[in-house]
Amino acid sequence: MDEATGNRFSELAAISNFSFLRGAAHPQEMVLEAATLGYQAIGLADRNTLAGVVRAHAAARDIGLRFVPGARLVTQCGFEVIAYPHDRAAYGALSQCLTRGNRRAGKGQCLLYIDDILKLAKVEKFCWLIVPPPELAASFRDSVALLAASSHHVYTLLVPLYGADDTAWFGQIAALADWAGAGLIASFDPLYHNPMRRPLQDVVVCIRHHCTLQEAGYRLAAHAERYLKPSTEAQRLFEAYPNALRNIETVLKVCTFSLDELAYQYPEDAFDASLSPQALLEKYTWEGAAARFPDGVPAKLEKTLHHELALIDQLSYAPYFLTVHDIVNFARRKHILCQGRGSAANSAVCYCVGITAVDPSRLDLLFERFISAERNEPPDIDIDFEHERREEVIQYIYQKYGRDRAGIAATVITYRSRSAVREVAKVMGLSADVASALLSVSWGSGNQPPPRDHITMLGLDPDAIGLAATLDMAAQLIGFPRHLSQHVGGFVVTNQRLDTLVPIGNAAMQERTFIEWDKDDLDTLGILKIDILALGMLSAIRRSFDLIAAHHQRNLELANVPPEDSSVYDMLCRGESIGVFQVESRAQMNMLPRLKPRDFYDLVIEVAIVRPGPIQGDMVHPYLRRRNGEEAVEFPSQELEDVLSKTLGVPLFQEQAMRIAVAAAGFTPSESDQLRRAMATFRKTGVIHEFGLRLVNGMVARGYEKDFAERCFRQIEGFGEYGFPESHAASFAFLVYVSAWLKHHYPAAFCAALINSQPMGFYAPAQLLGEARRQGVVAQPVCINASDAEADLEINSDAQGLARVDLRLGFNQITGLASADGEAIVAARQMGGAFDSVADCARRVGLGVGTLERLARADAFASLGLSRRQALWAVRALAPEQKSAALPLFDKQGVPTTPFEDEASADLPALAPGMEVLEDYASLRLSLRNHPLAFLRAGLQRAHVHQLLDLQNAASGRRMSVAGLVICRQRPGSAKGVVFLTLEDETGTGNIVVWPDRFEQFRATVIGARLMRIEGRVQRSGIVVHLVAERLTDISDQLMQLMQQKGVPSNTALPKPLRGKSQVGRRTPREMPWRGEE
Amino acid sequence: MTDLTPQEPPKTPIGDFTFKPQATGRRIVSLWFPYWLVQSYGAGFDATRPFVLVDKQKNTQRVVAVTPLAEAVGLHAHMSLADARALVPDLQTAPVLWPAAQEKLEKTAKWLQRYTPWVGYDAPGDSPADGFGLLLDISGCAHLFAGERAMLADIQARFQARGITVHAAVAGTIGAAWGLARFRRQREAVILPPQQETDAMLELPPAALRLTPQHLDLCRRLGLDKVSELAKFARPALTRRFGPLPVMRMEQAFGHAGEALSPCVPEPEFLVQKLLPQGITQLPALADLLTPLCAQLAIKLEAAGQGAQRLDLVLTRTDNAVMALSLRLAHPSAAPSHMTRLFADRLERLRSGVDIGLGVEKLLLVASQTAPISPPQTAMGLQGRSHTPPAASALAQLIDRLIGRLGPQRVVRPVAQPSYIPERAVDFIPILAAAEPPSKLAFDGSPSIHTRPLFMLCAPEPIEVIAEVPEGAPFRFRWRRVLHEVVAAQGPERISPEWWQEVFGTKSRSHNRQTRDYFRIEDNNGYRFWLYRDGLYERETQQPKWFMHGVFA
Repeated sequence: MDEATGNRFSELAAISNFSFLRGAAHPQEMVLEAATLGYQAIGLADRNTLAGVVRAHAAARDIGLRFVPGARLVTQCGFEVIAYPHDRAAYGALSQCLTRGNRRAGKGQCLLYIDDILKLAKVEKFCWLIVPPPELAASFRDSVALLAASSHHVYTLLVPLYGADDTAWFGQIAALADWAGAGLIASFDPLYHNPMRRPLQDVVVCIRHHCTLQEAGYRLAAHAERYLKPSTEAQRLFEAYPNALRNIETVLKVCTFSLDELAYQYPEDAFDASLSPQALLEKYTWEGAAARFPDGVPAKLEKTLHHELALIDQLSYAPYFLTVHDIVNFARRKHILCQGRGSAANSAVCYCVGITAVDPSRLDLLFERFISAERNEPPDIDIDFEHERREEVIQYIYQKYGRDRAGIAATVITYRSRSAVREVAKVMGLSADVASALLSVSWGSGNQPPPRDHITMLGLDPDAIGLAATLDMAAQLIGFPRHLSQHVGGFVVTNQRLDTLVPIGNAAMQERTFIEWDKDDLDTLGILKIDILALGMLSAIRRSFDLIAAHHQRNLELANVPPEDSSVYDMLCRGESIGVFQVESRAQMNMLPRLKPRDFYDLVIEVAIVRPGPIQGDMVHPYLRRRNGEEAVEFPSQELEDVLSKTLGVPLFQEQAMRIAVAAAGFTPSESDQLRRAMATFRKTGVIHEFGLRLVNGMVARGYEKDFAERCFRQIEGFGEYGFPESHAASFAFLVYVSAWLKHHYPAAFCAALINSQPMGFYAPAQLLGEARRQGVVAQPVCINASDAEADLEINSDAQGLARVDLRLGFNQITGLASADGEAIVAARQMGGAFDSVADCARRVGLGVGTLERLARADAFASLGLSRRQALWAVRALAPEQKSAALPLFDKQGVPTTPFEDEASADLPALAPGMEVLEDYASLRLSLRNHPLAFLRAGLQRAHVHQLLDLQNAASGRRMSVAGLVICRQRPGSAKGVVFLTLEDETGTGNIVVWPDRFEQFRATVIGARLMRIEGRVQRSGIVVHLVAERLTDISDQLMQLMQQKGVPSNTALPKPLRGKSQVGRRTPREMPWRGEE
Repeated sequence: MTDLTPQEPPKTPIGDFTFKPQATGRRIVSLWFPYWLVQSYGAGFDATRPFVLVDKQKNTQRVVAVTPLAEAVGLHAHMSLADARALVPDLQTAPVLWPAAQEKLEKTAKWLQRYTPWVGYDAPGDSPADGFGLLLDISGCAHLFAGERAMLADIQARFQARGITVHAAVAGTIGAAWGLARFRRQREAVILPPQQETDAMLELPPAALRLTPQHLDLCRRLGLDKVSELAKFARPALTRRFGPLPVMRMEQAFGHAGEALSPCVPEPEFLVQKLLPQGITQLPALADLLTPLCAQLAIKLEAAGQGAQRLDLVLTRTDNAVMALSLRLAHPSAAPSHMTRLFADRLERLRSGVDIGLGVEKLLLVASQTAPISPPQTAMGLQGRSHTPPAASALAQLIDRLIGRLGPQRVVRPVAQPSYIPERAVDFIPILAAAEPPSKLAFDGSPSIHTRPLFMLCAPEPIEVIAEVPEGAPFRFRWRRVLHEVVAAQGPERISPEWWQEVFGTKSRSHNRQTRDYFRIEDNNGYRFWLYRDGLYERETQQPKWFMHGVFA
């Protein structure tokens, strides 16, 4: 170490927790600790991966520390060596080498051999740091010699082991290095940044070995020495080997490669060679504009297009737009519905080249807001495709660019609350019982350990020493990466070979590969990605279009759905939005009548307002008050008028909040962007509060009210979790409009399409069908002689003899029926006409007894004059040999073998009407007969229980009782323990609010009841009505009475709540919590 | 107690079944214990709060049995533990112990032999949880207990006294008794007069026929909710749709087809006994009697190729009091001399503590647990190298005798433990205890034996040391008042405390809270020592203490 560096040490053998279950520190923590200790540099090399280097790189860049990226290559025979590339070419070769290793192995594995390393050493320049094993075997010595012969920069790590005799150990290593012609490098071979992490390190080792701490034995380390130690300590420990310290300098001198050198190049295949990308994009744009506006392009749009194209030219983004355009074009050729979304997607250019169908003039979004010349960040376009056909698009991209140039981004799967508690409890040897109790209070996706009061509630003492340690370890483990998985659809496409940029690995899915970096890493390095996403609603819309074309002879596509139809808005204003995209959740249904959307931009706001950002920022009610004229529209300042004019002075969108930071708190645009990122990635560190303080103080200094400033910050915090910019809202709003239009004008087709696209959305087929029937659609039951494989439309005549389009349920509605069987029935019917008996159907279609039983159970043979039970009796007669194995005793007595001997359809007791309904639910999950509650109504009426319809008309504050099937239970995370129930009876649905104290009091009923009676007080706000529950009674046993039969297992025939009890307490990303104003 | 009085003469044929009452003369008692799992569990829970037993099935913790109290708040078997906890957050739970429940049922069956020698398990229902029941063939026994009614009352009273819910029925067939016990569902025993089986069964649900869940599901879906509705169909029609089981069960229950009851408690095979015309009052005389008894038993064992693992000696005194003496053997043995010696040793130890009163009149010796043994190999082809007895069995016999004298807890053997902490690297366990060997993997990377002293002190002894900070070796130290000059040192070997031991309060010892630095030391006289500094300088303590822990040879 020379004088200039002041004896500052550098650690070159650090690993992070991306060496899964080996390292016990985040890459950032390693870097920060190195900086705190005054290291000159830090080299981080994870085990057979480059997954952690970008995070370390970003942290080092922020703090101004030199960072050396590398990988620790571990071969099948256990030879371990750290490779630091000298330059970009060597980095590329390393990445390719890891790719080869990954591709040889299954998901999450990497198979490397010593030959791979030797080959790498021969072709490119690396510094090699060999990690000696505890026993220096002959084979190891040979490997060292071989490697030293292949490369100039080969070193052996000199690591104090704190074993029985380190002096001798150092001597052995030095002798080995000398013999093989390698150098020495001093290192602590750290697994964690700080000795406090040793317990967690022990825990992850146990997780890796699937054992408890008590069983782990010598698999754990003897001591806590593998951390980053001060430079002075390094000087002392390696005093006898000054070379080992000097060689660090050499490595730092030659390994100059930085991840910043990974310049990204856009792919250039989407266009031919005769035109430059920019010229081609302009050509497509003007052609598209002419097609969109056959009567001439409006002057304003033309101006916008010129402006946008100039900006694209300036930033050379044309290849990117062309790539997206190419993918969209492919989808269009294959008739796959798609729509672009994201910041750049709502530009005029995207509208003209067909990436989106949203007319930008309806939005007035500024292009610069998303593509700023100043920040030079890649534009962001996500494309949604029909969920059933997205795979075709993905395979197209692979095929077009090749697997060596296209790859899916990774998602880093981290330990969340539940998984961390589960693993740690196992390692700590807690009994399965206590562990499952702890899990029962750890909600699924949270990243907080279970709160103390929940643990106390279990009768456990959170301070009991074993439990406290478990929770402490679990809290530390939360956020640790567990494994890499593929991102849902983020594609990286490069111009040069992708595997020289980042290693590629196999996914669990066949024919899928993904890269080792996630979207934040790609963002850090400025590498572009395109999100190829799946959207169920697009499938449903395409199905609707197909049904309408087939039965109504009207050809529709996204772009020619008539815009701004006031009857569609009327429907939405009434809150009739079941099945409509995005606005069908309960919170949205409550919001619709209050917001009263009248035009497209209102829908944009509707989509964006029921989100954590505006809710946490308390922006919802001010906006509603201003919109309803209850409060004057005013702006906190002149400068904010520009930002907030479209939303009546209330910030609702993510970018508005960011712009407030710029305009009102004096942030630079890049600072405001850092603020947004800080929210998303560094939630646990203190960075946020620093930003928060700056924001609030900055705004107060500029004369804003403190309260407003704080609300803005809370809103930004809310956006951190589920950021929702205006451009996304606009794209979604378009699909809201299209689906609402379909629902209003073609309810039968829309309902059939939704049923066939299940599972999607919030509601089960029963509710979707109920809604369609309320709209006047006539639904026909599943019928062996009339149904198609899927729900379909059919023309029937009504009472007056007029043609009417009815919905016919399909075989796909029958629980457990294979779709191939449904198709086989339809095919056989087309060949030989209608079936005349169960046996006929069995013979011609060749169905198994199980399938026929399902059909019988679904009452599909009703058109043959057979009841459920009679059909079942007939089915069971078909194939005696397939049933339970006959006992020899009875074979001798002679079971008749003639197959179709008729025993005159036996006189079987008829099903009670109520029972028929329950059977419908059991096999179809819906019933076209009466609602089960209709059969109980007489008794309920005697008990003064009202219909849910009455609730809609009741006066606020009135006490009343209602009863219904529980179809939905929710306990949104931000609603502070309030449970929302949706009940259903024969007159419709009703909304119930259960406050936490009532929930605790009637916990068993709230969670367990399928049929509930609720007494409460009516609460009304506008046309939104709910019942605030005061007393809840489980009357599920009344359903049993319907069956009038004893000994029936309770779980067979009852309709199940749409979102089961497990849903309580979970928050789905789609349904963002709505907080009542009460 | 309800007698089902004959209502009307047996009905005329329904369907194919001709209901000719058959005079079997058999009487079967069916006992059903609906809460067997929880009621036989023991007292490890608070009986005033809901309690359930859980089992891991297909990766889910499921409730398998509930107390009546838990049932009353809506818990039931088959529900997942998570659901149960959602209903009752402070639920008491314990893992179910199937073997223990089965063992207790076995014991109960044995005990029930007081009523009849023919006690059998009944066929399990659709899950083990409701399968706990027993069958008694009491044909010709009831009069010994003053009739069936009194006999059942006696049985029920005894179960009630033990806190076990029992439903009982007596009928002429196994099927009818089984069905009535489970589906008549009354607290009092059902006594079905002879030849009423058919009529009684027709009123019960199909489940009373001991059918599979699949059969019951089909019955339910066809709307057949009574045995009578099932019975009205022609037999072939029924068999085609249901398979042969329902017909067979009906025939059995109605008494048309025979069904055997196999007793569940087999006679012990290896039993010898000796009756004494006059009670003997001297223990040594007893020991003499044991010699021929053991020889007899050994002959039985050898003939079967078995060796005794456990021996029970039951002494019956003239006043009918019974005393039992149990021996466990280290290795299965059929050597009479060895058995005799073990009993002799034991009796000698007992001499003062045993009260044989007016004398012992009956000796019963049972090998209650045996295992196959192969006859010892005496020669291996190499002349003159045979060992008699072979070393292994000699050791086993020594162990048996030591245990006989010292007690099973006092004869121990060392077992290696995977721990860096030297004093925890070995554990001593009773020699007969089956040591669960720690996983082999746990020993990977264990410290080399050469780095450990041959002789380790029971407890580390404090020493006075002069050494370099922060982690240097000692220059000189004083141990047991002798000053040692250090001439060579190796180390430090750093061993951190096992933090998790402290967390769970297991084996926590005050001197083990800090990291130790071990040194191997050679002094100027050539003695070699193993000593350590307790606590890292500055990181854990300012004044590290030093201890002597072992001496190298």
